[in-house]
Amino acid sequence: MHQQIAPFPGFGLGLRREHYADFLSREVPVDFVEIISENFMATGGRPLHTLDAVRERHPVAMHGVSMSVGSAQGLNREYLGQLKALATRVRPLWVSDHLCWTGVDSFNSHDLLPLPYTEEALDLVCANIALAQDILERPLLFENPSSYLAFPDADYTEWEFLAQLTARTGCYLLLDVNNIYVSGTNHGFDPEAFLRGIPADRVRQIHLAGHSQGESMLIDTHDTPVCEAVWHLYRSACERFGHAATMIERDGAIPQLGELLAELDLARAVAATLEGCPA
Amino acid sequence: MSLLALQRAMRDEILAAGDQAVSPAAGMEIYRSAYRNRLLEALRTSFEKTCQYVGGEAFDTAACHHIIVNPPVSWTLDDYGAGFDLTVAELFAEDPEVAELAWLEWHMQRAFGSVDAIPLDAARLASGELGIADWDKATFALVPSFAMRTIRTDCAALWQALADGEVLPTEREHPKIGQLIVWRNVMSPHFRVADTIEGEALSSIAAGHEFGSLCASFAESLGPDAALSQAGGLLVRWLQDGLIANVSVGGQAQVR
Repeated sequence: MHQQIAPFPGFGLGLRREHYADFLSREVPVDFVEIISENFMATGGRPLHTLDAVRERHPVAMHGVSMSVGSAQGLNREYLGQLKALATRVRPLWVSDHLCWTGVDSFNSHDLLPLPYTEEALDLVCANIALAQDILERPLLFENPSSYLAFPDADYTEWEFLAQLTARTGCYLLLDVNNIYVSGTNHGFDPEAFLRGIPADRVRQIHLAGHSQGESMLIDTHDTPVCEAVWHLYRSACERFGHAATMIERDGAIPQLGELLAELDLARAVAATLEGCPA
Repeated sequence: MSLLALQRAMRDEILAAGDQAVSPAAGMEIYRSAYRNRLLEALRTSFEKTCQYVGGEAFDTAACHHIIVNPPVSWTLDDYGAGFDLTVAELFAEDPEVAELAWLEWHMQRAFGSVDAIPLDAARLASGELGIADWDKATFALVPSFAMRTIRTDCAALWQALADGEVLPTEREHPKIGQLIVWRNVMSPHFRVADTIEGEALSSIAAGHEFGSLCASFAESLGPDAALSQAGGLLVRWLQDGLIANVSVGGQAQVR
């Protein structure tokens, strides 16, 4: 058994290159920052030294995009070794990745590709998570990605699948409220039912982000402010998972830091209106 | 269909050219176009100066060709620009400056984030355990960011002009064959053009040959006294540049 991850009810931002100077030159009012793990793995020079300096001021959560825990061919042990080396250096609040696969054979799509929620996939993902947690010697968090394909032969809903993962592997969850909204709209499920199906005691982090309207579906672009419908869903998420850390995730059209801090204050305000939630 | 078969089928769909796509699902098209756009953006970001030099449309054509011919295999998108200089060498065969500029741009970026090494300077070298009798057997480790290639154009000046926003003359003279070297000294990436003699010496050092063999090869062409002066002069330059990470004798590092 791995150690538990204690709740960390704070508010944070993704650490992006555009804001390095802000984080290095002044006190930024966040409780934690989240880094993209791959940006700092097997590297040195200014990026890693910047991270070291930010780490002295703020707790850091590590968020990855390349574990490919849904890969039918298993995990890349060299990748996991480098991830562990970074975690040893950073001593993060936790290490997270996505419930997805990224490639097959030698191909890597660099995308978060969807899994069919079948018994076969559940067995395989659980085995992969168990291996990753053993190598990293810590429990991990997994995030629900936005998806644009559904598989008719699924045995589980997405939230049932996530609940099974936590029960069978002891992993925790990073709930992306925007992704729940995007996938719910694209596939026609009720986002509130998703939230109700998630074991509250396993949620340690919440992502908030913006999306865009594609030709026929919502696209998880992370380049716009959080929309009203997602704020509404966040309020429901806070009612259930108020002990979880919340973060604004912006990856495109990145604005001045002040704009993101103002958006983070909106999250604080939503949480503050609910009893028992962090403020 | 097994999970593995499904994942291979999805990979084939993502890699299929638009008119070869099998799945009519709108969702599949989202993954397909996101894949291409992500790689295109990665190449545009890594090769900003090359794009500026050849023009956006020509660059995107080359990048799309590269994406079709070279699907990514690394777990990190940061690796995706590796080999793009070879693609543009084929596509811009009439203008070798493009490939050399792309190589320089790529290796400057790699040097920026390469693994750390504290470069050795003359004082630290002197403080080490290297005795006079050890010099013949000494081998030098170059910093991990070190890269070198032969160039036939003035791509180094082109890189600098693009960085400085200068207008480039359409007709430019190209230098003799030289060696372009890239490395990072502490936090800053650097490049410079080395002559053929220094290039061969760096190749020898990078291959792990002993300092004595470098001196011997110089002695054949220059005579023993001039050889020592030549080898010593290069070593001083490399130490000043921050190119040397350590010196070893018999596999034992001499500077702690």
